[in-house]
Amino acid sequence: MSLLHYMRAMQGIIGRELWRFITQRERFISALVRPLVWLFVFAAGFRAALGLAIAPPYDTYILYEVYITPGLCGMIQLFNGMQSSLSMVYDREMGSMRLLMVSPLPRWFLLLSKLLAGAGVSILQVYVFLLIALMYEIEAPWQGYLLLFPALMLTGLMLGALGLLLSSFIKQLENFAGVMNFVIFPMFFMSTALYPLWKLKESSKILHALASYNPFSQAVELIRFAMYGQVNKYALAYTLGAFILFSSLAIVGYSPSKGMMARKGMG
Amino acid sequence: MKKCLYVVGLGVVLWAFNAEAETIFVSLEKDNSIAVVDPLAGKLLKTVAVGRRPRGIALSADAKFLYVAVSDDNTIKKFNADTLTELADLPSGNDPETFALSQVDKRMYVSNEDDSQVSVIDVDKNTVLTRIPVGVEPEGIAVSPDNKWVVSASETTNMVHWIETKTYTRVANTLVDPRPRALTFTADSKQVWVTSEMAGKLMILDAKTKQIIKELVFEVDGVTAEKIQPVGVLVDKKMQRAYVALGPANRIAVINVANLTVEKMLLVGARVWNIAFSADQKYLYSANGLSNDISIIDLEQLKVIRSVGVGTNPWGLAVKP
Amino acid sequence: MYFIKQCGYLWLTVFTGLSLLFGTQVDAKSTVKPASLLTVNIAMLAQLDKPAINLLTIDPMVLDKGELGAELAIQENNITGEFIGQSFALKKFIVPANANAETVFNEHIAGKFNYLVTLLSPEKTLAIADLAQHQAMLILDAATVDDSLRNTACRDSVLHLLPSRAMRADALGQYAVKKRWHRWFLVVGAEPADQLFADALKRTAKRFNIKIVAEKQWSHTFDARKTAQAEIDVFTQIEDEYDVLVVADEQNLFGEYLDYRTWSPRPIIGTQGLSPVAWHPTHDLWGASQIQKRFKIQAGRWMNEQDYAAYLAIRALGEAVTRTHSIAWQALRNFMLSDKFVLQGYKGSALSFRAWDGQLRQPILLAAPRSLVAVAPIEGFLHPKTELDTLGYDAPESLCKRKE
Repeated sequence: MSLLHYMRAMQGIIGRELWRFITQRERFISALVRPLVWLFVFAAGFRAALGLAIAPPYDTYILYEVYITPGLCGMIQLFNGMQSSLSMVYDREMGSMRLLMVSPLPRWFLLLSKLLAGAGVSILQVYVFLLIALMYEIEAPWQGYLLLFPALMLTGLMLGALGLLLSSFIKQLENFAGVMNFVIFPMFFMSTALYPLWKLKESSKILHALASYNPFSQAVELIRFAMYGQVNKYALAYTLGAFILFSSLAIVGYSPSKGMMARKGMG
Repeated sequence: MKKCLYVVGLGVVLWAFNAEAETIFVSLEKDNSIAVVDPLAGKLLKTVAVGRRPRGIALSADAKFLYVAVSDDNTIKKFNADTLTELADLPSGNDPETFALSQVDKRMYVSNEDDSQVSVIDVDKNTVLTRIPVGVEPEGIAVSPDNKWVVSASETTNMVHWIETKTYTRVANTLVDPRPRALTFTADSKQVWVTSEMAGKLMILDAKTKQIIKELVFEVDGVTAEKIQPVGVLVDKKMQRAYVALGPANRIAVINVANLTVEKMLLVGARVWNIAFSADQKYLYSANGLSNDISIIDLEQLKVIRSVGVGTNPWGLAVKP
Repeated sequence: MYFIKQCGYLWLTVFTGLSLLFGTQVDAKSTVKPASLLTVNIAMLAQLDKPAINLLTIDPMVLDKGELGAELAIQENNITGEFIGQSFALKKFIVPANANAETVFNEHIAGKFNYLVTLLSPEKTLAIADLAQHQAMLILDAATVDDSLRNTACRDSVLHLLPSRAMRADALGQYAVKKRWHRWFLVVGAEPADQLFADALKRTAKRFNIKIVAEKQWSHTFDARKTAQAEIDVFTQIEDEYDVLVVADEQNLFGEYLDYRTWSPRPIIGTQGLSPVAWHPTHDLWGASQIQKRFKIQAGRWMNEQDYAAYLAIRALGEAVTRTHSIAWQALRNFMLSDKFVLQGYKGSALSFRAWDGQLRQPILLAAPRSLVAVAPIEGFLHPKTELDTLGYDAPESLCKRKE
């Protein structure tokens, strides 16, 4: 196995994912519309018009729109990660997965490539979203947009790995609705995407605890700090840890001998 | 230390714009002290005890002396602006809330809130020249740049009183909207800009006719009209832009002077009270009474750069170049 | 058997003189200079209370009803008036508890005054309002808190300065919602007024989805074997869990005994403990410290609710006269009920009258004896027009049929 093999395989997977993303116009549009609706309808209707108190990384008072923007970037990646998992199920059902899995390259590599491909797509979506947000004066310093890239890569990988892990449990396509209800929504609502931790603490101790342990919260915080050119080390470590955990479990899950695959009669 | 890219970057940008270090003095109404802030670093340097309930604060024209009205001690204290050592107590009369300094003849005009009068003080001789009766609860006070007029706004009487500096007599009273708080002259001494806290309005008075010539009602998206309570008002030297602090609406309105429209609303801390320009007028500083901080605004980009915690109930600011 | 006090005449003379001295009067709002002095004569009719039981000997008994607030306001009106050629005079009619206020009204006020500030019981207020029905008179009620006077028994010519019981209960309810005190244990005194406040609290509970888990009547039974301590222990042993004990005891006959003595440790709110009030000594926000100081210097004591209401009543008249340059009662009444009327009352928001029932819309202070805890409307309670109308009877709910 030469390095070239690896490269070509990865290129193929990423290329396929990007191609799929670009050709499925509805998916691209829906990926953008969802956070934009939140930004302009939800945030506007929500009336935190008097500004949110200062908490790092912000240096001054901010409007609610500004606060939820990193959370919505996280939302894009969360949906994208889950959608990738849907595509895995789809691939599995259609049999193209089988084709991939029988390639001589190691399975972990293929799955990682898949994750990178998913993260790449989500980063593309996030930047387009931020570009639109920029027109509404939701802006970060330019350094922030640069630092955002590695942060988004890590959070994208982490959320993708979570999706991959979940997909190893899902038998059929229809179960994506279940993922929406039982994974995406709880993760999103019980996080710092919509409200800062101190605000959650004011209303409920349980919610505060759930939100602070929610890996999605930490991903959002990593994005939030990166947008302002800062590194939140705790969030970085937490997200990295979660990524390693989820991806290892996913690899185990997809391994034909001991994973879910075997039990599901695949592989 | 989370010394981050942004702070460094910002620091460099700030340094490039404003190489000279400024100092901001902020009176802290409930801390009995003033805060000394370095706006460049965005840092509170120290807090200095000055007396009970400090409110009005200003520097002499040469920036050598700092005056602070300590209302509950019934005096205005004079400090060395460099060392902050106390030099004298001025005979301000009872409960001095705020005051205006004439840049020409070293006269100080003091609002005595409890006594419904304006005291005129010779700051060099440290004597009272006269006391002029005005309406109930006089607060905002300003001297025209040409030193001809002093205007005093009384909060409960709802009037602007015009005092001629030549004779120290009140020659006219203009009825304005309820609870006028702050007022300022334009650089050409031709207009007085007054805010009405209860009506949420800015009124422009003509110095010749003493009449209201223009009005502007403020509106903020998502904030009820009751919360819009204009207080501090400033017009820049070039008379291009004016700035009005909107109190509990937590905003500073940026006004285009030429066509009297609001260009932008800047979000600052809670219950923004008084505002002050940097010496070069490239920055604006606001005292945020309820969130206990000051906000630093870049006027070229029209952006709030940062907010710095200073102490309990920041009231007014003085900027030393 | 009544005595008449006079005040304001000194001010009147002083300011007439002063306004002649200062010649130029520029008035921005009208081009016409006031040609002659406008004088507004205001009557004040107050009836002293029957001697009440004073549970707390530390609180001084205040016998003068709102007079000192009215005097302060007259002075302020006159300072403003001096600049624009207006003067205000107050004539006070103070009747003892057992006298007939209607007779005083008929003999000395009816036909002689257009403006009357009343500090009377709800029944007397209504009786006077009915007597004044066909007269050119505007009544400013600075004493009652009854919702009936603002609803079914409302009168066209009456404006109410103090917040009604419903407004107070709503203020308490909003704060309870914020603090998640969803279960109330209601303790009601034996006086009829207590029942009225309890009714207001029940209306609030319904509006804010608060559950009244238990309601108990406090009866003043005297049992020699029990001390207050033991009595309250037993009295507050109820089966249901509750978050706060809400007390309705307007005369202050037992409410102060409850705190620290309840069976379960729970806060006391209502007429004692955390109370919804129009004015309070702990209030020093929005320039209030200024008027607190002015009043205290003049009166030698803290300003109470009725002082505040009488102050506002006369300031409201002053404001209306200043803005309209008129002393015609119909014009003033219409102006005061219009959107243009704005009154500064040291409570952060501009005060104005509700056109549908003549109630002054105002924030309500939620105060503990030594601390101002919150100011209602509490943030988050929204209203399409003004958040102040989240308190009490809003236009659609009002049962008042006023001639607009």
